Amino acid sequence: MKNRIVTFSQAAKTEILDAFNLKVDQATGYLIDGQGKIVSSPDGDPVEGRHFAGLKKGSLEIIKSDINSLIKLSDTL
Amino acid sequence: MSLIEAIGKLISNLPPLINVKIDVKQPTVISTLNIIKDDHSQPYTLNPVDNSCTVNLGKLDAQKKNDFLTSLIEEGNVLLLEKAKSEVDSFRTEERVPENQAIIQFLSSKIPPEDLNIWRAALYLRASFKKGLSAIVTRIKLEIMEKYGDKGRNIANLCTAGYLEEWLIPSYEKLKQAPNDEESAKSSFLKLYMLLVNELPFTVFVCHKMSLVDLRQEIDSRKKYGMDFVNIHGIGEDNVAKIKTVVDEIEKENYSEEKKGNILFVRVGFKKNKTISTPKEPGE
Repeated sequence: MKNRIVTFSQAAKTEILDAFNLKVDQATGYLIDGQGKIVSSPDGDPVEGRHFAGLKKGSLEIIKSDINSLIKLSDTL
Repeated sequence: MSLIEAIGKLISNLPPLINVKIDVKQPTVISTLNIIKDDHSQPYTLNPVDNSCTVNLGKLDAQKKNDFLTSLIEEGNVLLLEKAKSEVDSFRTEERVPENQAIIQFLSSKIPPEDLNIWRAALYLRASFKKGLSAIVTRIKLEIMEKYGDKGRNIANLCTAGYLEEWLIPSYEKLKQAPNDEESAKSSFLKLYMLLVNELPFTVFVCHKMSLVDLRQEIDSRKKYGMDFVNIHGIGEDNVAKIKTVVDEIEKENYSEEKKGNILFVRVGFKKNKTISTPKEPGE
């Protein structure tokens, strides 16, 4: 089924990021990719590690945890 | 690879810790998949009651873990934090309420498209407010303001204070009754709407950062719009006290207030300026 939601716990967050070669830059708090580049949400906003809420396909789309991002996600489900 | 195949492949490579068989040809076997990480749970568990499956990343080696997670994304599934999933579910539940559906339907053809999601978030905020979920209300309002600035804050406040039902929708109904076609009613409504959400011409929402001087200035600044009143809203003891102090000092034509719990709504009628005409001298 397309766009089925698979949930993960807070404790699994780092493992998920690791699997996709992402991590939180300890200096800035932002998510960075394997090249050390800050990754952005579909809106073009840099994503803080604490606001990381998930991933979806589409050149690996980062989902932010704020209500505005979740409304947009909801429209795609 | 489908979700069920991904799980099936994963589990087939693991020692059978529980007595369950997954039939990969029956995609209805698993209803939901949850990913956890801990040191004490089994690598996977299946709940026969609701057919949910839990996979513990803490018990998988790096290769299996990466293969499993990337295959989930490749298949088009969304990996979503549990807390975020709950929020999406709550939002969708609220949005399905017929009253909210009607409002969204009303707004969708009359306001700028980029504003619609602000109102959708604001309706969710209002539902949380009505349920007394103060921590959620504070967070969502902040998120709306961070994303949409002053307009976001204004819409959040207007929505919670009931301006949609009590002012915006009735205004449109009146415009429609006038001898206008629907398009000109929409055009006039849009002008009213833009003024309301950008400038709050007859409304002041008191926030905790607002000093008494700020509040007085905010109230006085509404006079330029030519309305003979201003509505003042405040939530919480401090804001209610500020409103009472400032309103006491204002020269006013009339005044009414409504207090529900720690919420205060005040309408102040501005004192009308009396123009005294001096009789002209004969021959002047």
